[in-house]
Amino acid sequence: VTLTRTAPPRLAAWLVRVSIRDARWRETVIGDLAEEFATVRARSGVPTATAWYWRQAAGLATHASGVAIRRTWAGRSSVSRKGDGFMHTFLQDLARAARTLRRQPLVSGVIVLTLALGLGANAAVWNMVDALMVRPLPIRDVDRMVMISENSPSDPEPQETVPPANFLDFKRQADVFDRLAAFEWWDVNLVGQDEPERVSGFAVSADFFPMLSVVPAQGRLLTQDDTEWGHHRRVVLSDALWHRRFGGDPAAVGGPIRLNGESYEIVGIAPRGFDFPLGSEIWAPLAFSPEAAVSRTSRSLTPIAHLRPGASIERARAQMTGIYATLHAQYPTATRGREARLRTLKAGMIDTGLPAILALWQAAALLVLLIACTNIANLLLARGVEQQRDLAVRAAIGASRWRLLRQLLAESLALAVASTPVALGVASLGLTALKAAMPPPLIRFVSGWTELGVDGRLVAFTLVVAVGTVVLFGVLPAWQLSRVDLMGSLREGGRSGTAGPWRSRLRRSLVVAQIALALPLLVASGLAAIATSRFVNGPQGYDPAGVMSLRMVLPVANYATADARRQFIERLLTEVSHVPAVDATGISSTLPASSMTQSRQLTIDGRAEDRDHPISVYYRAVTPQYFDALRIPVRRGRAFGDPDRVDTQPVAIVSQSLATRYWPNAESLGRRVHLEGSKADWTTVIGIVGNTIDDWFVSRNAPTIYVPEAQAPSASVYLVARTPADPVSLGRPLQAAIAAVDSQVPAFEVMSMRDRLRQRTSGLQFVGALMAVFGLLALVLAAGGLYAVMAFFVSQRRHEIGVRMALGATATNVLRQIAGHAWRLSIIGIAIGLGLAVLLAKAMERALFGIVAAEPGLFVGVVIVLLVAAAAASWLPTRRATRIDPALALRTE
Amino acid sequence: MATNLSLGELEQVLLLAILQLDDEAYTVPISRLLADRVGRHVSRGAVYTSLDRLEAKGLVTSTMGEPLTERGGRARRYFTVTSRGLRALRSARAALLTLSAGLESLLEPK
Repeated sequence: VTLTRTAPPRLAAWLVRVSIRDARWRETVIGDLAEEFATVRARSGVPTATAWYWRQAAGLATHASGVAIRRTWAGRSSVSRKGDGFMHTFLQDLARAARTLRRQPLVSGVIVLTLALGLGANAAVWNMVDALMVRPLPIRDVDRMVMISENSPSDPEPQETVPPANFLDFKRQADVFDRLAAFEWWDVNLVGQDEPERVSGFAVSADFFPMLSVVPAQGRLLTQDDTEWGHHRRVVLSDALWHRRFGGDPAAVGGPIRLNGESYEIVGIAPRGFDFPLGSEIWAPLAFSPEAAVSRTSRSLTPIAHLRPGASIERARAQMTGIYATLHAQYPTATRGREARLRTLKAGMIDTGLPAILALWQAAALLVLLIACTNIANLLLARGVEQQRDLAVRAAIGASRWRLLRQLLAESLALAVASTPVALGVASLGLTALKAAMPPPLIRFVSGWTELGVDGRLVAFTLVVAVGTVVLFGVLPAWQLSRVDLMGSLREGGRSGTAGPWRSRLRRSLVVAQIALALPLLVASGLAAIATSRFVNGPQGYDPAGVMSLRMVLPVANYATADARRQFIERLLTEVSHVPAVDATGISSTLPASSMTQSRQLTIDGRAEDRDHPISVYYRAVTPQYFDALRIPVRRGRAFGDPDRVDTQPVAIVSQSLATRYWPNAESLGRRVHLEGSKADWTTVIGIVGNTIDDWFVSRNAPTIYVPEAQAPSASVYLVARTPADPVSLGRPLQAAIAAVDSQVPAFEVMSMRDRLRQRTSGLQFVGALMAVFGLLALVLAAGGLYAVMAFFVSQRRHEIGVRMALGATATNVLRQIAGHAWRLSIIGIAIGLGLAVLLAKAMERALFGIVAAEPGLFVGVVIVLLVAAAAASWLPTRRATRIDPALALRTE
Repeated sequence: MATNLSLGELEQVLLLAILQLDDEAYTVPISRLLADRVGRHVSRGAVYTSLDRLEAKGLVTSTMGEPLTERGGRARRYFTVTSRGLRALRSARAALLTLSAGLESLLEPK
């Protein structure tokens, strides 16, 4: 055995080194330990010796006597320029920083609060980005999952669904996936002992649950056998639905449930919290009837797949493109102009507008943080002036610039650590408010929304950003302050705390920057507010005031025939006519400002058909009084009426926009069109009505065609009723009227038209509200910054003002000087801010789809607000300046 | 000045150990001596701190030896008791003897 020398454990030796600050002792101690380590090792072996060394190191690092060495030597080392261990001085710096900050509780408090507001805003938005975009789906291995859709390459935006036959082909041919599943919307009318209810559900293929690694809480999930046509009347309930409708009774599993007028068997309960996709509460097997299985045109499926180990998404994309090319060759008509598209499941489930909105918020939050930071930098500078003498003393007795800089940075760090919990509190408050403000029906469409809140990741994020910003913004003042002018600061009788010209310029630039940053934020919040108000209260093409609306869906089982649906609608209108305080009642297959759109391809008599660009228009089947109920004006011709029946001539009414687009220079009344899916060859246009704005974002004045419900009764039924009373009060009586016709048809989306509009603008209102909060924060911070600078400016010039007043200057002269200074700063800031605001407004115009134009009035208004804030902020310091007593001011110097 | 020279108990023990060890008085044997002869296991930090304090009071001086390979290239630090240190020890011993005079029957171990 060769006795090779084994050195002491390195990490422990390092610990010893950083624990002992005095260089002479450090060497001695490390030497002693090395010597004794060798002895122990020779006696008891390496492991024992290593353990022994660690014990000694830990003892030295933590033991009170270890600290004593440091304390003994502290006095000598603080003047030495080298040889002090970094960890050591760092801890000392932190302790000193904490003392300094405690000495000035007000300034420190303001800094911590300012920082917390800026950080809190950022933390809240980042939490949204994290919860809604980074990990919106709590699914294992979600990054290896993809969503497949069919889009036309020229219009990639809509996430188009896939027909069953294509899905089955994908499943047969694609080998890059180890699982390929599909789901389709399957909202159902649930009937039981309680009131009927509309439940959000999905029909899913057999691979769906295994792919998502779902384990049933009760019973079983869906299997291949369930997806056989004829065996498919089986469902899995969500934990929430099971508790709501069955009180969580295990006996419900295996029992029946009535859905859409048919009896299903409950085979199992999903685990608590599982609601994929989109807040689903019930899952049925995706079973294709023999006819449906071969369809290549009825698009309803959303396929999702899990990549086989080793397969990349690029490879999957290439394979899907190949498979789709074969489909192109085999079924040219059905696949015309389409492509298979693959995106990650996450990207597929996130609302397409979300990233843009979140980016906008994050940008606004960063601006607020920037403003907060300039304020902090300013406060640190201002405080530094008072600290300067202290620093000069330390420099005089030998502290290096690096040492002073470190001390100042340690103060910044202490501030960051102190403000993090406050910032998290601000973020938590903000997130709670946000969650409360989200309309419940929309929550399911924002995956991850319920996960918002403070968690470990958010704490880490906030701490990192806090340290980052504070170090960054501590550096500027710290660098400035560490350039201590020894002679100037120490000279007896010299005016204490006069800032050098460079430093004053820095402080002034910071205030200018604040004003310049606050302005665009205020403009943005104004724009968002204008857009929201215009959306809800602006012209819609119909009159939403005083209109109540409800939705129902007639289940196929009971309303398979047109006659059955027609009878339901007629009986419903009769029932509603008995409801008091209803002026007009209409029924339509869909409504403006609803979540559903219907469209039909149109062939126009006498116009050549372009197969590549078919005419597609919005479609609505309505009852005669619909136009009255919504006050959509009939411009020409007539509205529908009793003569338009199932056995009479098929008729249609078109919107003005449709008439002008397709018959721009000719009479449109009496023209004939063919509607996709209609049995009649031709439908005659008998009237023209005003345009409606279905959705301010995507469809304003879209060409729309209306047909009489009597000739095309729809399973989707929207009921609208106009009343001179509060429309919401109609909710109950209208629901009762529906129950009187068919107690198994639940009404849902029960809300006034105005509320419908409001709900459509939730996103915009969120943007607006957040921008308003950010803008106000920015305004307050900028005003605070200006106040601080002006107060400092005046206190710096006490002497000078005193001299001027002694020489005969009036209060007005002084006021002009001081106020002039404040105005100069404000005007420069506003000029720069206006430039930024115009850029931001242009970006927002694009983001808000052209709903708002940046109006000059808004800019003028914001500038006035800023000027008022600036005047208010500089008022106190200015007044103080005019009240300076020359005798006093001169004597104190 | 006499009050300045008053010694703590650990300080006395350390001074005596240094005298005992003569020119081999560096920290490792000092600690070992205390452990082996007196049965006192003084924490490493306390030894260093006290020696440091003794040096600051001028009761001991230290000199660095040659760097040694078995110490990872670091030198030993040898301590010597100064005349001032010796005076302090003497006065402490005198005080001890004076105050314990006549108490032999009580203080002598049986």
